[in-house]
Amino acid sequence: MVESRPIEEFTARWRSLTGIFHDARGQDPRTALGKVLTDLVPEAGPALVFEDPGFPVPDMAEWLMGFGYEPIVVRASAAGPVDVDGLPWERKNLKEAAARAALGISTGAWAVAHTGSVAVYGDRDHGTWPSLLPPAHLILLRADSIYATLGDGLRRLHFEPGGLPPEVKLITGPSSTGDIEGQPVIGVHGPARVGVLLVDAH
Amino acid sequence: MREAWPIRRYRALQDGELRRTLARVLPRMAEGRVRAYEDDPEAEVRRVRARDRRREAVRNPGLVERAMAAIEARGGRAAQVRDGEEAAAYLIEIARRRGATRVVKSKSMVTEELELNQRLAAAGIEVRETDLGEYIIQLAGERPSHILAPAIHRNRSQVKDVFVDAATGFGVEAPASDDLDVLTAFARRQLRADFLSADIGVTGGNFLVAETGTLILITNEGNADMVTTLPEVHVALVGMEKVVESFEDLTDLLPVPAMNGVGRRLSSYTTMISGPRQPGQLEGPEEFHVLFVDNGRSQIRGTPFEEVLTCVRCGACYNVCPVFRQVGGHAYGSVYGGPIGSALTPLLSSLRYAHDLPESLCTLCHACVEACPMDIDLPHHFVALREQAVREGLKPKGVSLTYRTWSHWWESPRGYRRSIRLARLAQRLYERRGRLQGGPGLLGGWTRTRDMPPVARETFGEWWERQEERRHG
Amino acid sequence: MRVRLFVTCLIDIFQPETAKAAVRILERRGAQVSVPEAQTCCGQFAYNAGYRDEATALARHFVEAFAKDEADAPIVALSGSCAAMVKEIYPELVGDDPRFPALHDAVSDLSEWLLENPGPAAAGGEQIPVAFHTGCHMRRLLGLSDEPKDVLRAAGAEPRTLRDADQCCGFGGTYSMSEPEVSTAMAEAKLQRFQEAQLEGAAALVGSDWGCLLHMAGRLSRTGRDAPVLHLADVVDLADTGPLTAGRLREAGTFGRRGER
Ligand code: SF4
Repeated sequence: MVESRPIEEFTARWRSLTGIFHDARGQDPRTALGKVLTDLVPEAGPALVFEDPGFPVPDMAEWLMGFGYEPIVVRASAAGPVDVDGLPWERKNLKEAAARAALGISTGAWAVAHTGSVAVYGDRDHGTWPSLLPPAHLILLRADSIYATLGDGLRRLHFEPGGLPPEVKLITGPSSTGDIEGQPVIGVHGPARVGVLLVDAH
Repeated sequence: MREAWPIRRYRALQDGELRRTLARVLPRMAEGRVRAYEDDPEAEVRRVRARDRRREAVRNPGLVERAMAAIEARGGRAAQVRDGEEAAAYLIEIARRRGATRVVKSKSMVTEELELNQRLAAAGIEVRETDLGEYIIQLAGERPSHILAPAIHRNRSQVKDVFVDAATGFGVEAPASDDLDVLTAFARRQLRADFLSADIGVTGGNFLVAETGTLILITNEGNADMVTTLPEVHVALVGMEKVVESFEDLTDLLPVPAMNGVGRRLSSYTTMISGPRQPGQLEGPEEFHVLFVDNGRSQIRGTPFEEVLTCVRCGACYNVCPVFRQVGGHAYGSVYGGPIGSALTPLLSSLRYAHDLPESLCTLCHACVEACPMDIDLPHHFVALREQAVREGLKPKGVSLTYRTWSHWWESPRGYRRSIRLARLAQRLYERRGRLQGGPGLLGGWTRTRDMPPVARETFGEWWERQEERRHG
Repeated sequence: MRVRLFVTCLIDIFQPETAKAAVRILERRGAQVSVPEAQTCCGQFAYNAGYRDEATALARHFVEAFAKDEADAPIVALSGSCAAMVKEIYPELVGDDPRFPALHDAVSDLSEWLLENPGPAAAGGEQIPVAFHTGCHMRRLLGLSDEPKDVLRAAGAEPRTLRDADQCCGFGGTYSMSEPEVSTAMAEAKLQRFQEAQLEGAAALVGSDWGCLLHMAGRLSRTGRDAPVLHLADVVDLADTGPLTAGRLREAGTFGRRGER
């Protein structure tokens, strides 16, 4: 059973941090995706999708095309990441593709209600570039992966089947700075817009 | 060579623009902290636990070795460096081996301390600072003035001037206005190219977990994540005092910098790096190195000043310090400014080098210790450093003579009364219309900018004596 | 009840009227006031500057001066900072003196004593707004910030907290003399807040430490902005003898006039 209190707290905090949140539970995922995309990206363009083998959304590329995006798919495989045709990605090409993308899509490993944070992993099966290089980032988050506190989330890291990932990033709002006159500006190096699409646990 | 304090002070106090910016920005950050605690009733409990873990960690000399072993076990490399020269040599060696010439860096105070950029530049390696504030001051050829907001001393139009000059040098289009979004977009564009082409990424580290060898980097801009995942090599320089024992400690520690610096529960990006990229992974560096930096830290360990090593560089003490609010960070003439800098600078180097900091930039108001999440009793340490300055003969002779004579006279009621009678005689020279003007030594310091009433014709003590005599005859 | 007055050197020498006012308000509240005659200075000036041996000698003298008689009678201090010196710093200087613990516990700030021993109720009527400046040591070392304001309220004043009240006024003991430039810049920042309070109706600047107050009053005077500056004891004494009015505060608190009385 999914406890609802952390979900509500997370929703409220995430909304106050980024303003972009859609609850797609019990909804047609394609419609929900369409809605969150209009919040995230002013115009359709290349979309970098890092597919999560533990959390597949098989029709994602097709849906994106339907909305006018050019999906750039990264799919983990035993031999390393491959593209939509099963051809291996090279680091340099992936870097360039990510830098060119208007949108990055990846999955959140877990989230923390108290801080309004989402954890993304950088390991064999997960990438952090979609959350970093494009100006907008969409996180698919499973409702059953929201913990109440930071400690709950951090403790889970010890039980990851692949061991502690080389990179774990807690995202708590958009890329921002106060470096000039202490005034907040978003979208410094990373994405200015970060959205969460909350999906059912299965 | 450091510039003398009177010069730094003069320059700071006459910079109206700087002082207006400080007056606007610092209270907001300070209030953010207070509100964040009000909002979160359990934050205080977590803070105290975090403080205790940090205190235990800096006392534990074995943690660095444990951390090094953990890093190596996960495919990283670890080393200890004594100073800037050793740190630079390590990096230059990597650069030679890989034919690397371009370094991108995310904000790191320890590399400022080690003067790493200058050392690498001397070896023909180009270093680009990528934190927006650091980028601005790097282009302007300045030093950071606040640990959280290194360019806080510049307003937007001064930032634009820096960018316009830089654009000419780069041969690119200059920012069209001093609008903050326009300025930020300029930096984003320029730095994006640097990130994508850099050979080596250099970072500091907010914390490092001994148990797992995990490096923690906390930023809001996301530049550290670029620096650590795009180049083929990542080198982190971490003060040896930043190591904490267990992963579990992070639960209470991770929120401390943002909570206390700006009043947020977490910064935008909290990144935990536990090794280089895995086989089959494309992101992340091929080589991951951690250099544990001493540079004077081990000489603080085990002394009464040890707790300054628990500092998490949150900036809370800067934000509340009334002296900092008037003079800003450059007036400290050191890498670490603000209250913690006034202790850390002389402790990492020597008191002779920087005794002006604990001496001249603190009124002992205790605002810093009240704000500090680690409860570092900086006012106490400043007094201890002043005492040390007296012992080492660093105070001007005339000053010591004044304090000693003054104290000696006032150790007895007779001396006290005599000093008052003398003052009454002497002050005739300086009395104008019921106020003192001019005067020698400390009095002259006061009357330079403020009036002072003269010594009363009858002190309270003298009056009381008269009353008592009347009463008892 | 017997009360020992800890006058503090600055008041003794430069603002004796405040100590006289303190004697009057203590007596009106039933205290039998004594003033240990040998008292001089708590030694904070030497301690803060790093002259620990000298500060210790002055602390020993304080213990001598006050331990002579009436070891249990409360010692009421007229400066929060000097009280903090005894309560927070003396333990490291004279903590070994067997007479010290009793003295330590006996010392309190005037505002604490006044709250415990309320006097005649203030004449009703309008509450006069005054700007209140809490000294840093009073607030942070003694943990007193509501107490003096409560005393003022009971006296018929309406204490208003300055914006940026957490910021030091720049006095800092001899800091004000060794670093006049920075110290004065801080005073100006504080006085700007006071002027805002004046525009909103504050009739005077009131505090519990003549150190801070002389520094700010001296700056106001030097720059031709005379405004009434008073110690808490002065205000309570005025309130004891008639309703507080802006005119009476001005009369009692104007810089030049105090010295001439
Ligand atoms: S001394 Fe305390 S308040 Fe200042 S930066 Fe360090 S941890 Fe933060």
